[in-house]
Amino acid sequence: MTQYFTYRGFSLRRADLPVRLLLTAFLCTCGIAVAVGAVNYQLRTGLSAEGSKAWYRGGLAATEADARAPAGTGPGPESGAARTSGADGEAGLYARSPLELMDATHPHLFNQAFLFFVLGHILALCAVGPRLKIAVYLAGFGGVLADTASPWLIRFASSSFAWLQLAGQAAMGLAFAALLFFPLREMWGREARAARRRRGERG
Amino acid sequence: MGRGSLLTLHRLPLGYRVLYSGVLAFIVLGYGVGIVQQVLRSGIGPAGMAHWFLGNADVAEPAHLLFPMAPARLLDEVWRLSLADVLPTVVLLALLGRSDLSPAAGGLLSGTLVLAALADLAAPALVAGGGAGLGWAAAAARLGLAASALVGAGVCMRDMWLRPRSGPRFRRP
Repeated sequence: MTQYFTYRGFSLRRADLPVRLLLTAFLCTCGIAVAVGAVNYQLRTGLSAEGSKAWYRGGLAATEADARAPAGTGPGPESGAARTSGADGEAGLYARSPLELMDATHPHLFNQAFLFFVLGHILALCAVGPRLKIAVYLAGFGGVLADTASPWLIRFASSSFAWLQLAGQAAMGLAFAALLFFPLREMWGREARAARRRRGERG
Repeated sequence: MGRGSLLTLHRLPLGYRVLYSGVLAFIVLGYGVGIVQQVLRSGIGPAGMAHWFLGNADVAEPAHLLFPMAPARLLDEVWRLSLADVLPTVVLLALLGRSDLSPAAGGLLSGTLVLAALADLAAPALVAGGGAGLGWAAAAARLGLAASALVGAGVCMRDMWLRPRSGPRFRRP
């Protein structure tokens, strides 16, 4: 892609058809991956603050068990990955151990940064104002930071940080939507088609 | 390394610098978290690294009981390492190629990054095949990769934010 950076006035709408098809396929795959991630969160936490609290600190059953157990022996937040069970016999949720949280944090930091690196370069080739681009980058990185830090804060500080996680996911979702929307509009939108027709190009 | 080209880090407009700085910050954070993760698993020293792959049944009263990794689990570990530890080196190498480092310094840093990444990938097989005595190689690879990534990210950040931006600027349309 970087050869295009040296073309003065280049934007994605001037890209050849094979490049546009390649980028579109990549962006669609990224869109599906993000959607699967959202479904994953939905299944785990219901995308709600209550669900996030239960996922990281253990279910409601843990709190009830803590209340009945002698101090320091119950499966509460301090007891690591203790298994709990609900009153109806359904398997409950564990309170996550630091190692479990670390196993999720470590790859997330790299993978999301890498994805932003690639998608950010594609957005950079769009004729979009620099302020909007910077806002998208900041929203994305801020969202990743909040999404990565909030499990630790929920688990070890306060369950109120579940709202931070939701806010982070919302920011990340908006940033991803912008990172997908602007390049696709630039490549396939009405203005791009009209410009190509004027130049007598196909596609 | 990127001298003579308009596409050098110190000439980038603000948007690119924000994008690259965010990516570099998360990469450095990721390597730091990776070290803490290994400390929590079995320790980052030679013995700890060997225990992670070979198990710690010989240790009296270990904090966590670890079993020797089966071949499929070792392959899984290599796959995870390639995604989490080695993939970011590609980004770092690409950015270092646009830095103002001299060819010798840039080559040395890039070479160290590549060697450490390859050694990190080879570590599971090395320790599983060569025994606990090679735990030092796994520890050196993991720590060397994190250290060289930190230096590489620092060089890129210095070029983007601290170097005077003289000469023609690279600008997006």
